[in-house]
Amino acid sequence: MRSVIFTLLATFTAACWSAQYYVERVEPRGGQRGTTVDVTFHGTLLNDPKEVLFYNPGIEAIEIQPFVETSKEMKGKITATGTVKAKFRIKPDCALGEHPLRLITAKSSTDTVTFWVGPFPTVDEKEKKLGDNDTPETAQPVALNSTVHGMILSGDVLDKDCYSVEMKKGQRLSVEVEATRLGTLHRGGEFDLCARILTKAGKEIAKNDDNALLVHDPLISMLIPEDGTYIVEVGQQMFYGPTSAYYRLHIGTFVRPMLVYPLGGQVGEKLNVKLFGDAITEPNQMIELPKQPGDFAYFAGKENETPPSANTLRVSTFPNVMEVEPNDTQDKATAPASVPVAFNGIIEKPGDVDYFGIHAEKGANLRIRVFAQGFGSPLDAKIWIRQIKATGNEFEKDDSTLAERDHLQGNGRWRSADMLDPSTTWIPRVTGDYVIGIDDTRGQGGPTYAYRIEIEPVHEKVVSQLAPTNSYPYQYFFRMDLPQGNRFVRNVTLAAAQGTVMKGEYELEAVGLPQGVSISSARFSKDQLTLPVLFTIDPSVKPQSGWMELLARPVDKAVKIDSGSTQGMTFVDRRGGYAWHHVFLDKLAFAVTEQAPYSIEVTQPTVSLVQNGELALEIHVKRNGDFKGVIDVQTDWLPNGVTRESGVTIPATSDVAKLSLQANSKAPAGTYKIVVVATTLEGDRESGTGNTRVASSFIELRVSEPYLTVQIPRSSVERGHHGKIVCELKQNKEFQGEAVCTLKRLPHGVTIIEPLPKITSKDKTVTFNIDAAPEALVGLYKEIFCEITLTENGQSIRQQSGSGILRIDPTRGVKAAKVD
Amino acid sequence: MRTFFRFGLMAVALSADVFASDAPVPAPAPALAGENGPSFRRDVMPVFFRAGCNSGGCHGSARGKDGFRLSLFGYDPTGDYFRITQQMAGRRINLSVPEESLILMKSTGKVPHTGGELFKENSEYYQAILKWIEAGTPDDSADVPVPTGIKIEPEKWVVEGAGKSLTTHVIATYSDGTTRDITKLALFSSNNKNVADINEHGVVKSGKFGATYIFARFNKFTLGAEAIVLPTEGNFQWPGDLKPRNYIDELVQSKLQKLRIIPSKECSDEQFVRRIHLDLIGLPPTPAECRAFLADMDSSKREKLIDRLLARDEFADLWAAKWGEWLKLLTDQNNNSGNDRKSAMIYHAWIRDQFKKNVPLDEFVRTQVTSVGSDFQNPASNFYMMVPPSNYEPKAVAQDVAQLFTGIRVQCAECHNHPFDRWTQDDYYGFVSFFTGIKRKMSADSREMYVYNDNNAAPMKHLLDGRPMPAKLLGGAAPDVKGKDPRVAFADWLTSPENTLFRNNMANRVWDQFFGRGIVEPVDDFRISNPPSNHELLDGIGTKLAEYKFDMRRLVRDICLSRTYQTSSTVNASNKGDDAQFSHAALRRLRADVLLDSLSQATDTVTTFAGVPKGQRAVQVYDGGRRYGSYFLKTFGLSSRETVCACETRNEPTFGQTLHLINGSTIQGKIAESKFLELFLKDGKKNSNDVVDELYIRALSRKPAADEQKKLVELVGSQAGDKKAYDDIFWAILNSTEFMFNH
Repeated sequence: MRSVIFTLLATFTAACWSAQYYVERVEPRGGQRGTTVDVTFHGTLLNDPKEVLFYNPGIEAIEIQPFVETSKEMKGKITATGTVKAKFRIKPDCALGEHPLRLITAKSSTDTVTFWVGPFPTVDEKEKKLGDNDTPETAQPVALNSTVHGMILSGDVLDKDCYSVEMKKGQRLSVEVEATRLGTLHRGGEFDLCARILTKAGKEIAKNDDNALLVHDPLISMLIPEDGTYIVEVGQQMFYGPTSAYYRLHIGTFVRPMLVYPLGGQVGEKLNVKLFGDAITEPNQMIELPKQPGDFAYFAGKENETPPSANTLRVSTFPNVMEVEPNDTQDKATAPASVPVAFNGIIEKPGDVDYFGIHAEKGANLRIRVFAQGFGSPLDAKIWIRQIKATGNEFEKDDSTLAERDHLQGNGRWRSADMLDPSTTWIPRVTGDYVIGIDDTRGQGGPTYAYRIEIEPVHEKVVSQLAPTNSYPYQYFFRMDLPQGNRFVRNVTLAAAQGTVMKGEYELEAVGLPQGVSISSARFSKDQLTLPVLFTIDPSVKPQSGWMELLARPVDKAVKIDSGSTQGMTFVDRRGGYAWHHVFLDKLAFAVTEQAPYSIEVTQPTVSLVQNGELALEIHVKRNGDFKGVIDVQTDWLPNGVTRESGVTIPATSDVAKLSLQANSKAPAGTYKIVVVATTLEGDRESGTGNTRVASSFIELRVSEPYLTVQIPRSSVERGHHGKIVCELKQNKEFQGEAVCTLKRLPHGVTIIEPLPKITSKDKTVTFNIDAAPEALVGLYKEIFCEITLTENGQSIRQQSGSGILRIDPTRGVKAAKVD
Repeated sequence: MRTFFRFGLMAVALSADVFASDAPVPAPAPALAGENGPSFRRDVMPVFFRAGCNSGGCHGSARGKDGFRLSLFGYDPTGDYFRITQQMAGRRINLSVPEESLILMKSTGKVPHTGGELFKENSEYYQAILKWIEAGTPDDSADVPVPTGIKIEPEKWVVEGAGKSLTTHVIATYSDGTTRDITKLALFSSNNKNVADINEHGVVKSGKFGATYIFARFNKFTLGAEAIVLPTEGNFQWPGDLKPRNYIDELVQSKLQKLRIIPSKECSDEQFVRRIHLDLIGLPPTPAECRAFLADMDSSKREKLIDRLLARDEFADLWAAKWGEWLKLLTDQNNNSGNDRKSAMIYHAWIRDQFKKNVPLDEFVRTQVTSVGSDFQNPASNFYMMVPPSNYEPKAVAQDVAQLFTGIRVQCAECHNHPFDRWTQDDYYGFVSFFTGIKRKMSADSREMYVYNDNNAAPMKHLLDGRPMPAKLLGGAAPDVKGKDPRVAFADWLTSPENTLFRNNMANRVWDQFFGRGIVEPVDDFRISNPPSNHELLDGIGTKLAEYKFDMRRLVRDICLSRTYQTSSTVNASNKGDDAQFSHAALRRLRADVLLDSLSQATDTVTTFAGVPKGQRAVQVYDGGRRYGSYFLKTFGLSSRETVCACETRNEPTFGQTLHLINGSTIQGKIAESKFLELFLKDGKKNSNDVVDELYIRALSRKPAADEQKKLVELVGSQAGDKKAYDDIFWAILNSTEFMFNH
């Protein structure tokens, strides 16, 4: 079984591996704020680039050059790959860190890639061929407080890149690498790097591979023992042939705390924090928290000592309670605090347990979240709550799912550090005092094993997201390329935040779309969380790009619930589905693109799709001008129990196609809004790169009970003879005229004697005359069924019914030949 | 499972042999002192055992046979009692007419029985069962005496020549202090029937000269007695100049003298320099190393060479490869148990570092057995990731730990008491309880796993009755581990210098590297029925290893310095039949990785392995080349690392290997790629004698013999300056048995 799964997985991932993207990466991978950087987009079919859409403020793209094609062939396919050059003007106050963006072309909003903004001037690594700067002797000199743009070259030995800096005794040398976080490739690429600090003679004096704060990306902060030249070496800790292993190496005297304690405070308060892990900073600092609750990116150090990345802290509207040791037994818990409240503490040594008191009201719907690993603490927290004198727990919670950590979109194999932090909801059964305990699941502890527990009422929220129609979340599914004067469709899923109970029906409201673009969909409910949403774009809407949110609004206006959009995507995906870097966005990018060369319409079926039946949709293509492209038609969404043929390709010579839908016997009867999707087939079929995609308008698909059911009796026939099978009919609803019946799955050698019987909706039986040839094989044949083809409103409908058994007997009086 | 099946067949064969014969009916066994009436456990169960009823091929099979099941070799008397007396009312036992009980009618062949007639009505076996049925098939009270041990008399038998016989007796001791001659209830076997065979009555008969063990099994006990058959022909005289150099020689030679075997002569310098290089560093000597050694006139040059090689990093490479195989060091990218390449590489680097630093073996083992933490940060914790690769199963881990570090295979005792060793189900489940608390979880990095122990984990439950079995050491006490990590107590016991199981197994594994077989062989199959070929020697090197505080290099040094190691592989008349007493060096095919590295070195070429940096030798590849596969290494039997069994490394020659060498790309490719001959011939001063010399030194670490030299030089003829003229000669040398074997 395991090997079967593995084979399937391998096949699946191998298929994914060759998928192409509009934009593979942008180079360089980052720049200094307050500067203008020449950048190059590398990708496929980036013809007619229009603008760059940044998810966060602070960068502006200027002087976007036309697409320069460098190759017609990529990975064995004929696809134009090349580059687009532009300049990024980075504002002096631009936020440091990751900036997701999209290059918008005339045809597509392309794929999200990232660009990193840092505080320091950048220099390029000078290594031309593997080995140029691999030793302390060949190290490239760099100035302190600069960022090196480098790359680990692939080759048959391990590449190491060395940089030398001049240092004074007692000076702080801090090193931080951005490599995995850069997420340079969507798929593949292994650049888990390691950093070392060496003396000029090559002696290692500091080393880091992984750490609790940045997980894969190394960081070091150390005091320099003697005046002299020091070497910063970056490389893989272990050899495994890297792919596009870009890195940004920050070398300087900046403050680089690994952890800031406590891990949060109340809005607007002045908080006394302690920095852990930095070499010489005064560990105790007073910081002022913002007035906005949520996650706060705190950059330690004064202006010229700012680290390239932040330590995240929580800012809450409710007060902080700090642990007071000893609190390692239930009876030494802090005095009960009323909720909402945040507890802060450290599991100081292996085996340590901390207890806090809380007062909770019966029936309160509370959410309890721990913040630890997600913020750089090595603690693997486990929590439990019990009544103050009790010995049994009300509940115990260790790890969380992505959704419980508010990453409401994510594949089951995505991994983020905060998934080790418990998050749960709790409704107390009685009003009273409780204790909450926390320890390390693995029994570990230490001075940096900090945590923060927030207990507050559940904040109900329903979030919309674009839903992949495949188990792998290709960027393809997150493109919203809305062609002028046409239609576009995406499946949208609603997800409830932890503790939220979805009641009633929801409609979507689009915020941020330009005038002339409208959406429509059926109503969502907790039983119908994923539905197609149709975008209709007026011909007057000019090509443009922007952000939108799809907000879920309860149909019952009395229900109050918050809503937003989210989109999670992965970078550096590895075979097997584990990604090394995720980006979670709270808005959806769209681009109104130039007109598509075609549109489609689906003829509204005049009849139902009956359970166990089949129905063909008639699709018409309207080609603009001389467009002769091949078009693929299919559906992205169908109601439960309804399937379609795998997809129909309309050749250049045709404008009409039929797409067959089938309903199984359990497809719930009802009327559904469905859309047919059409794509052109140029570019990369797998990732959709280069395709032009449009949608039909909604049609109504009625799924209904079958017209009639057929009971096929158990029958028998002798070889070489004729026989009859008389089936009973149960008519459910009338149909027009006559229906033709036939039997399917008859054994070899048995045929129905023509003509096929016809029935009307008044008939109670149907009789099949059958002929068993002398060579028919003797035996019992099961699952013979009846297929009825009828015509309703001029449309042909096929349905199946019944399950019968036919026995073929030997001819009487003829002795069977002896079989040796 | 496989082992179990084999045992089953053996037992059937044995029982059929015993009872089909018309052997005279032996006199009844002496009555048990103080006995009161017939007892199921004491009187009836042994009959099932002796007659083979409860063997694996008969009713002892897991599903029973023909609708009737007994516990294998009687490990579950309570269950057997139920099955015989209550499972099928009125069929198996007929209390009204005891003689018509199915159990008796079947055994005597009165009614059809797949197993045929097992004994006759006048046999004591029949009578024992009959008496018990006549007494109303009483169950035993809790205080029924149970056997506490057996002994064989005599314990040792030394005899000259073939055809001599001796009657042994097996005496069982019971829990009430009584003893009983159970010769007629025991099962007998011999480890080497050619030397000494034993029949169903305990009569041993001598065969060809040599040493072996005969065994008696009864209840859960197996015991061996040594049988030595000495040669009669020739005048045995121990050579006067054959002096032991150290304790190893003393122990080996003492045994050889007893067996009247004269060891071979000492090996030549040419043989020694190649042998010691291959054994210590996994590479043959380079031509320069070889010539320097042969030219060295220092009388202590062998000792000095041993010390130089022991200090080289390649020594650590070789032992890291061996332990990597035993520890199942493998990688599967992204599997749920986290055996990512990074973990595997980190683990391998750590193991290599242990041997480079000469970390004592007890510490090496202890660090792993008690490990906790991230498999990236604390490489030793990969032990609990690699040994149990997917789902953690305490039983599997316990079995592997036992086999790895004591050489004991306890797995049989999971389902029944070990049929050929002393381990019972109680021992087994108590032992597994040391490993029930291990937990593993994924860290923030999906490749990184964290290993920790739940100190309050419940102990293992006994298979038969579900009773919790607190952690108990194999053959030892049950330490107090409440609220503690029981692995610490286990590791204390395991790696204690007093623990002969550990020290002897570690020493035996070391020994095997230098002789091609362990003193116990296979090296990880220590059991009563597989005794060491030289008890004193095994104990001697085990004790020494402990004395050396498990400094492996010191023991290795002793071994390499011994005359025993430095013996020639050429046999003499007295030792030609010996393959277990180390009287001559064994011909050993090189390990696959060592062979490939030797080929690369001889041809001055580099073999590149996928997934590792260029320049790494086969021995250095962290996972033995398993991830990307290497046809050569696979063909030549490099361990698949699927189990901890040392047998995964296969060194026997196969036809496929020969074909590969002759027709495959390896040797041909390396000769084609090789540049050294061009360089060698560059100065134009070398003649064909020089070249042939060089080829021999490179490949075989010796100069060609005069006749070899003459023939080869003739082949070269006038093309002495052309590299191509030598390719065929080199090919032939590299294809020779001499190259592929250490000798």
